[in-house]
Amino acid sequence: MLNVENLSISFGTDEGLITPVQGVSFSVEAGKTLGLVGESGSGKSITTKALMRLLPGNARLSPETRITYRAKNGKEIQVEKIKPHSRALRSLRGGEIGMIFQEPMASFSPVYSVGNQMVEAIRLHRGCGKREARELAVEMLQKVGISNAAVRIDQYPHEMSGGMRQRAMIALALSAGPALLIADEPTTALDVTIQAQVLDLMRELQRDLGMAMIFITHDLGVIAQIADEVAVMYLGTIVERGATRDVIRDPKHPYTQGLLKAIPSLETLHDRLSPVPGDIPSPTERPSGCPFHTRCPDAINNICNIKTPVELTPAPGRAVRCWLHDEAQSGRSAA
Amino acid sequence: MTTGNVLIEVRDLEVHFPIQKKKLFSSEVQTLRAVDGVSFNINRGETVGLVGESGSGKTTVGRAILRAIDPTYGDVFFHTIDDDINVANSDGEELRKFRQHMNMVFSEGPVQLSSLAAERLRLFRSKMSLVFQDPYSSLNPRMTVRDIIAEPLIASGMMKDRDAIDARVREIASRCKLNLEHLRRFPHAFSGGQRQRICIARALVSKPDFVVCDESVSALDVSIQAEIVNLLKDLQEEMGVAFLFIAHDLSVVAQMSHSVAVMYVGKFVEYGPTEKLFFNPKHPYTHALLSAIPQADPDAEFNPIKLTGEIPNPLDAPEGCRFNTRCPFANDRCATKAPEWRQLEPEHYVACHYSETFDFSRR
Repeated sequence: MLNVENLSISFGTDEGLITPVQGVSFSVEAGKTLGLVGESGSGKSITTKALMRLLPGNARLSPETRITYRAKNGKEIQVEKIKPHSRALRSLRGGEIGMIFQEPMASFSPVYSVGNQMVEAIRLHRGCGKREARELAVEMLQKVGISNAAVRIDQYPHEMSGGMRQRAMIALALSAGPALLIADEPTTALDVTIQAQVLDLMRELQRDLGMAMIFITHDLGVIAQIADEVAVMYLGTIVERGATRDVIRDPKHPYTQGLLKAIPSLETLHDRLSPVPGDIPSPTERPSGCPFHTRCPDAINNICNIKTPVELTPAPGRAVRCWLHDEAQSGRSAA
Repeated sequence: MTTGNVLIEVRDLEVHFPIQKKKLFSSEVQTLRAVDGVSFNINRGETVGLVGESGSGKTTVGRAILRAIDPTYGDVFFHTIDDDINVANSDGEELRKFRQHMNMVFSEGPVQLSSLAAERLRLFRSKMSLVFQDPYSSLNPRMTVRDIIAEPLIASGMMKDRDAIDARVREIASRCKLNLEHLRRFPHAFSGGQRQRICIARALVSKPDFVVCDESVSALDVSIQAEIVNLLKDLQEEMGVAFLFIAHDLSVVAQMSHSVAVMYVGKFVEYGPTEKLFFNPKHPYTHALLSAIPQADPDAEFNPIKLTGEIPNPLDAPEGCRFNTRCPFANDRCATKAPEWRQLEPEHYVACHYSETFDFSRR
């Protein structure tokens, strides 16, 4: 339902043109969840903001970018061509693609009650009357597990606890009935027990409503629980893509391998952790060739630091950007 | 009082904050019991992990031990290598001796931190330190890295000679794997991991015996986090410093700590050696926390214990056991009678009426 090809985003800054996202391609199938993993600065959030045309004014999409979205009525929309401030864009945001953010306090207005904000969204996207919208809002709040929803709906965001606010945020995003939900680190700010509740809720809602989801997180544990497919990002490129299970069981890219090894485990106590050596380069000094070569333990001299790897298919349904999997370049077996 | 290897002894620590609720014509003062009776020891050169959800009072415990917040009730003893001067109640000759030791070997003790006067506390602070969560906001952008790291030495009056300070800064910076060339730079030039290393260098420059790490690795990316955890462990081995490692991420705590305390709404619910606590927890809350961590393994069973509801507001903590409103095993007794803090096995403490009946072992 969503197909992104060659998405590149540049920003004109005081320090020159920086390109935090370069040549990102992925697709999301209806009813499935795509997990987008990466560390801070890897361009996960910017990528999804581009899908909703929420980028700041100094951002430029490259001319090769194609974002194709199949709307609920079956029409295909070229998202990158929609005019700003147009009716089409307004219906896309919220109505077609919903979004939840990491910090729910920042996405609710503090001066309106939760119900007020939900009713506004519902009326805008569903075109129904006030009373009907309110009933729908209460129903939505009940669905996300807020007890006493008829009373809670008139509370202000600050009167709710963190977990409840995040639920209300989910209810708000879902109340417009989106076909695709983008969840940007929705559980990162929550405590583990509340995170478990919210993850459970999102899985359940997805099953019931049949919507597709893009789930952004830096926590591979969360990905393993919620995503059907996963795309691993590093410095603005997707370095590896595939079914979640395959990627975690048998990571092909050295970065994915390093990430998985660096996660502290509950099973082996007091072990030394294995960090990925080095620091994440800043976006202004993006390495030449493969962006990961400065930290890669298997980098091939004179190849990885010069040539940008192309996307290879080491196994069916998998994609990886790494010269190690190219026989001609690495001189060894691709397996 | 000889307690062997114990460095910090916390006894019945309570920290209350008055909360003023304004009404139209009157105001009402409520007491928020952020920490409500907590006792534990920290051994020399060891790490105690402190876990709990937000609002459980973890940070307040850390700060109260450092006397960054004044405890309302209870004692914090800082045991020094020899024993038996209670600096809190000593003056004159004894205090003079104490101060000398502060600046040299520091071999008196135990010091009752909880009632140490301000001036004496300042001297004392060089023996303990703090690493914060956010390496971006805890470094002064107008100071060079060298000045940031040297600050504790100057503030405590430990060192005055510029060359000596420089030498110490360089020594600790290289131990923390900082590039010595970078000492003249300002913090904005560094990445999150490097900044956290600067924070650690600053905390350790006065060669403290005790450092509180308050969510020190939580804001870092996984690949960097592992490196900082390893660095902290190495430094502990080299310098014999004890850590109070506060975090909400249990798997990091498991790697760092010799023993772990679990906090819930101002009270400890369980405390024990890391192995025991992680593989055979005896409190339903510990068990629920452990089960709620999503593992990066698609085949691992992920069946979090469903804790219904929210963490209670500490202003209005539930009667009886504080966990009874969310505990899947709670009954009437839990709702009326607060469980005692009791020893289950040597070194393993728990606050639950029914610990003996649970088998949460994970192996």
